[in-house]
Amino acid sequence: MKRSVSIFGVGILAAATTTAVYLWPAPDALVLPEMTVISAGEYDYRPAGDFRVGTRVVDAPIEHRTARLDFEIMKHHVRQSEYSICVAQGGCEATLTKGSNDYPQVDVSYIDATAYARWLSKKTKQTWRLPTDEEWVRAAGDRFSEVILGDISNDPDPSKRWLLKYRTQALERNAIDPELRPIGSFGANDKGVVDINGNIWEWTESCFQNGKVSKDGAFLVESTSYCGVRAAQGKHRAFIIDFVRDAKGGGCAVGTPPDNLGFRLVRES
Amino acid sequence: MVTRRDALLGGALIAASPYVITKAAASEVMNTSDAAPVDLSSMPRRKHKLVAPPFVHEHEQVSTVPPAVVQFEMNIIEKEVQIDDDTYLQAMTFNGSMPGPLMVVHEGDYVELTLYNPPENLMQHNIDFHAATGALGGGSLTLVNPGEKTVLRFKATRPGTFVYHCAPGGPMIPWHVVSGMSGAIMVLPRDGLKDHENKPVSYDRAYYIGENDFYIPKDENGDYMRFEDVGESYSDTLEVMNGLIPTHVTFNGKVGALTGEGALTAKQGENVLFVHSQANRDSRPHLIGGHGDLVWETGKFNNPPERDLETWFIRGGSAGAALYEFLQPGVYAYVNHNLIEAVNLGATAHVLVEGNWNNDLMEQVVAPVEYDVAHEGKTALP
Ligand SMILES: [Cu+2]
Repeated sequence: MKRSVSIFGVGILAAATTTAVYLWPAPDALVLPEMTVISAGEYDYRPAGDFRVGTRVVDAPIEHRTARLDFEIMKHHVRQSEYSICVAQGGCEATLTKGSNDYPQVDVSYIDATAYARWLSKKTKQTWRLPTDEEWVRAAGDRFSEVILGDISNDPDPSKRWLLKYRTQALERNAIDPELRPIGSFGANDKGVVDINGNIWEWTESCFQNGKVSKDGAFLVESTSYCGVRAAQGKHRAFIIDFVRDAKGGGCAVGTPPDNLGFRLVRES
Repeated sequence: MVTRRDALLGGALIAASPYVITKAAASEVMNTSDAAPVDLSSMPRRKHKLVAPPFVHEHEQVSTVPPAVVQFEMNIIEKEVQIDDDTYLQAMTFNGSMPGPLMVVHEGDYVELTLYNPPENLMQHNIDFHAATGALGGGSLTLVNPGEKTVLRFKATRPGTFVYHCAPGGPMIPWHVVSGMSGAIMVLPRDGLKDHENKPVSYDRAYYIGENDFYIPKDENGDYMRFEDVGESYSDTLEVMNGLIPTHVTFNGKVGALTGEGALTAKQGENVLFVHSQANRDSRPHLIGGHGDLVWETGKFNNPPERDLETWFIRGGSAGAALYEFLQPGVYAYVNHNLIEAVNLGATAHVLVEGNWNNDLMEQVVAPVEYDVAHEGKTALP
């Protein structure tokens, strides 16, 4: 069911009282986005961050988890037209945009994405926020993919794992053109969520964690969160500093950076 | 002030009427037909097919044969090239690649290049070899209009790595160079490379890193502009060029060309020769995690190489060479160590090195871990 709430935007009001001209059309009504329900149930999840057994870097253990509640996530990425209204109304910082209703808004940082969520919450009197990494994994459904270190017991040489990871990510990256495509270009997953794992990495609420894993690699012993860096999800999980809008240049000299940074929100009930 | 229309018109005239060009460039055009003849008919002749960078055509490091006339062919290709995800360049290229291919000969060889300017091109071009002597490096003997070819022969008298580039006169010179028209030639000593003690050294593989600086205009929306043809791109590009701040600095003609699936490869224990050219602008190659064991910073092999360098300087308009043995496996980044240019403008290559990690050279003693702020970290400061 599509619910919509009309909001009288300041686009017209502003034009009447000031000479401000917006580069994008400022619609006077905000149509609430279509939502998809991700149902409760069981799923597997690997926590987000760097994990070690002793000093050796390992994959986080897969945990079998059960969600007791459904949640709602935006079916599509936040659009340029939607973000533009937030900018016009002073709730969001301006960034590169053409204000199009057909294209997703990218070139946004974690800070931009959360500002949009705050603005939308205020406008709609509902609670909007970024999904956690775990919620994103649930919503990604059959499109979910991750790059893991794999079994290290037969080949503990750190350089070999490094090279393997580099090559895997390079292949993945080359499979898709980073040029922005219209909303819907990458289709829906098994849960009905659209454009998961295209060429946009999506901001999540989850902080980077440094964690210790038990000797047998089976469970997480402890972890520390560093929240200046957040997980962005796409073809692989990327950790990106919260004020970065364009991570194409990469966060470090080596590694395969995300193509575009965008977002979609969860609505709390 | 040349308008875009003028430039286009100029392009059309060039294509239609060789007469106009000959007049326009007359001051720099000469020929050698009245000079005393030289007889090279007894010289052995050999042909090399050029390959696209970063690779180098097969060659001997120590020459086992007497000097020869070494023949090469190059086609000049004007075409639109994607230089970044969101950026296109109306490029002018030697043999279709940016940079043009690396040519390798030995000291005392004669380089004989046949240069073709195909009829579908709009511009006249030539070639100036920094390795050659006289006639503006060959530039004033090789100016070819679309549909023409020329053959230049010069004697490789000085061993080293040298830039070649197009230099068709006046403001066309810098524009052709920053549109992609440069490459390099390596003239090896007949008995191969020598270290600082004059002992022979060799390489297991050679890579040619050609660095380009590009100046792409933006439209009113801030998007990089695309042009119908090379002539149309001239006036807007000139404005950006004259600001001297490149929009892109690339290795092998495209941001990311030598990373990901294009990354260079090597094996632990191999000696790799990196030839680095920049025809227009200074650069400072640096191998992150490695060094230059022996570096001919100015690229000229009659000078002893410098040792153990962290970063070396490539003067605009020159090519240098660095030899390095990869001691540790893993991923290396080969960058222009102006890190703004490396990370934000594109001047980064990666080298993937296979082998076995050596903890004696480097080990992570304590993995990043939270520390006890109350008791640790007090002794570091004075
Ligand atoms: Cu030219």
